[in-house]
Amino acid sequence: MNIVVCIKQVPDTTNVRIDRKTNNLVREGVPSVINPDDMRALELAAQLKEKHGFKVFVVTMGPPQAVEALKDAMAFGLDEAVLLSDRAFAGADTLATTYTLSLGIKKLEKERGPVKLILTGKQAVDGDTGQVGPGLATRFGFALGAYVTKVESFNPETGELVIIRRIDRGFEKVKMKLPAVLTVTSELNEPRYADLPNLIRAIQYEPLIWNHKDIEADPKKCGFFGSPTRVVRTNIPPARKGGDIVSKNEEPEVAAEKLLEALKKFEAVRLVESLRTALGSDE
Amino acid sequence: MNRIEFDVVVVGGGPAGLSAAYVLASKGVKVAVIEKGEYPGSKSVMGGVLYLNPLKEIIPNVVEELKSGKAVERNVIEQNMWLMGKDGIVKIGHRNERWKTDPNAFTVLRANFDRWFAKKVEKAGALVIPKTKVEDFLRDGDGKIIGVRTTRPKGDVYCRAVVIAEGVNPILTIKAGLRKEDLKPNMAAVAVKEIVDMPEEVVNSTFGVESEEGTTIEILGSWSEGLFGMGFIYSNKNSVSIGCGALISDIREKGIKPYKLLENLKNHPAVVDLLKEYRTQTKEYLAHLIPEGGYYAMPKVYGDRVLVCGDAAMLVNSIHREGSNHAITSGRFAAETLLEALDAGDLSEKKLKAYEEKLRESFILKDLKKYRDLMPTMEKNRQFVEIYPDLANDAIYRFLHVDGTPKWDVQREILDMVRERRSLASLSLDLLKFWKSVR
Repeated sequence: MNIVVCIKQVPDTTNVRIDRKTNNLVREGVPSVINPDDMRALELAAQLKEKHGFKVFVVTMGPPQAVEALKDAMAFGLDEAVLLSDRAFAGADTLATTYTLSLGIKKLEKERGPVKLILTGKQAVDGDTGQVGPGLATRFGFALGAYVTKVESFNPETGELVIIRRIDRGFEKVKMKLPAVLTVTSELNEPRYADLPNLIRAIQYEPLIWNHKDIEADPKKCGFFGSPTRVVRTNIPPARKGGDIVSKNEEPEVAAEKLLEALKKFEAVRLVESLRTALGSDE
Repeated sequence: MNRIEFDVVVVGGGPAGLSAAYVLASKGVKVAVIEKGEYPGSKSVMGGVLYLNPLKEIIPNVVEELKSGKAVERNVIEQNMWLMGKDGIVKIGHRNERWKTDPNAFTVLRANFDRWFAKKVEKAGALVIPKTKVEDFLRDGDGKIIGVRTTRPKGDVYCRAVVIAEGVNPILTIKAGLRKEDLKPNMAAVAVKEIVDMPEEVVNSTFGVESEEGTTIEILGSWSEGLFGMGFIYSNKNSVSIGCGALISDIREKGIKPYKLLENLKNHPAVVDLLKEYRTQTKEYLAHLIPEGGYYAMPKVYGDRVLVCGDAAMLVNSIHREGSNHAITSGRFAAETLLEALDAGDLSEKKLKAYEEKLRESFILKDLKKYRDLMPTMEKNRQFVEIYPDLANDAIYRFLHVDGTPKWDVQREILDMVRERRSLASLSLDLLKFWKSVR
């Protein structure tokens, strides 16, 4: 059985600046990294490979320099890496991206055997859509587990797995069956510090590079031309003012009292009252 | 289990280590460079002026290649020295057409330069392993070095010889037994630096140069509050590097924060006028240690199966802001020594002593020896930074400021001014001391 991990190369958000004139990300000179959530997907894949001996392929769509992200990913001790790179893929929204990715994965299936599990991060830090995982699940007709925080159990014989996923008001435990797509959150695991043999192998590894012909993609469905989404405008939220300090270097009791007074001013009275009730205060 | 094996492991992907690896790999030696940073250059800080001579020795057509790429910033065609007083500066400078056609130095940002150098090293056939820290040596039963241990799982790397190019912190140099103890506070300076954004055309007009051409300014005087330290302003492609450094021992003694020194420098009226509103467009803030112990503070640079290069060997001439050229040259010497030793199948301490001899016969140790007494002299004689920069400014101001005073009287005034701040006897003695320490 094969696992595919889809990753994205993103600007290192600790270094990102925004051009105040154009409202675009300044990408020049900003180092690129693997999207943090995708690192968790890679770690999960590496663990499953170690435990059950699956083959793991890592796939990304991007410009030629995205090979760096794939090489970094290979340090997790994976089997092969594929870069889907073509001018025709540029400017893709999530619809066109999942089209291209799915054809890349299908080519992998044809050449390396069936793919039963696709893993990816819950969303990318630069686009934040969170749609690629669900889109892939739809295109393949796989079960979808989005926002996975934990894989509770996995039975490689039956293909049954139990996951915990984050939902709006808490967590949900879901029993599902392969084939599946899982999109994972940062709570899932802590990506490893790769061992030296795998790191060296990764440095020396040259990923496969496929263009639209290789994956038999229709250029009209790829990239900019295959993307119905248009970014009409982007807004930057107004800068928030700093908060007020109601108490500094005072006894906790005094400070707490001042905080309550301040909260009341902000129409937080109800909350304050209910807090008091909950704490059993008689005042 | 497969052992990871190389002929030579180089610890540290700075100029020294990359230079050693480049020369070794070019001759077909199996070599790995292990760098703890995200990529070579990611942790490096340098003013930085990179002299080209050492690179020309190892890479053919390097100047042309550097000029056409993004690894370097500007070709230095003018060098200046400022003596900074409280409200004035005395400038000495030199500009030369010859540097335009025959570049001698480029300003660089090390994150770019080191990455370029590392790519060259990889192309030459070496393996550059980033994000990996070497913590110790591997030794056989007799205590002989047989490799290095990294902090990664399964991280042992076996080799026949190790080049220590670890930089200013002598962790492995100490573990190799080549240095007894860590650096003393008077053996290292802390340098702080900012890179401020400035559009290319503004850099050109500010420094009076064409694109591709650059100038350097070294600054001694009031900004350092009496500490012996050098400030600098270097023009980059579309930014300016401004920074300063002072000995840790001095900084500690005076209780001045390094950033305060940099603020002093940036707030001096002459610097404010030069950098204008771009002064506050800080793009990066960097700090690093510079080994400034000089000749007396050098470790033993060779041992059984091990050599020490660059900053780790204290090969810095702070008075001439030279360090990376020493690093690159020492890396080459280490590689050449190892090539002979590998050929002879003898990597003993006795054989590797040839490395030290190469250093001794070259400009590196000759220069370090020449200035061996300069830092101690400066440390003991505060007047050099406390009195003279201001004195020079005030004297020249008085000389050039025309207010109807007859010239004889002006000269007398200046002489009195000098006498008042420093007796003529002390002045002569200072001159003698200075001469003795740099001759």
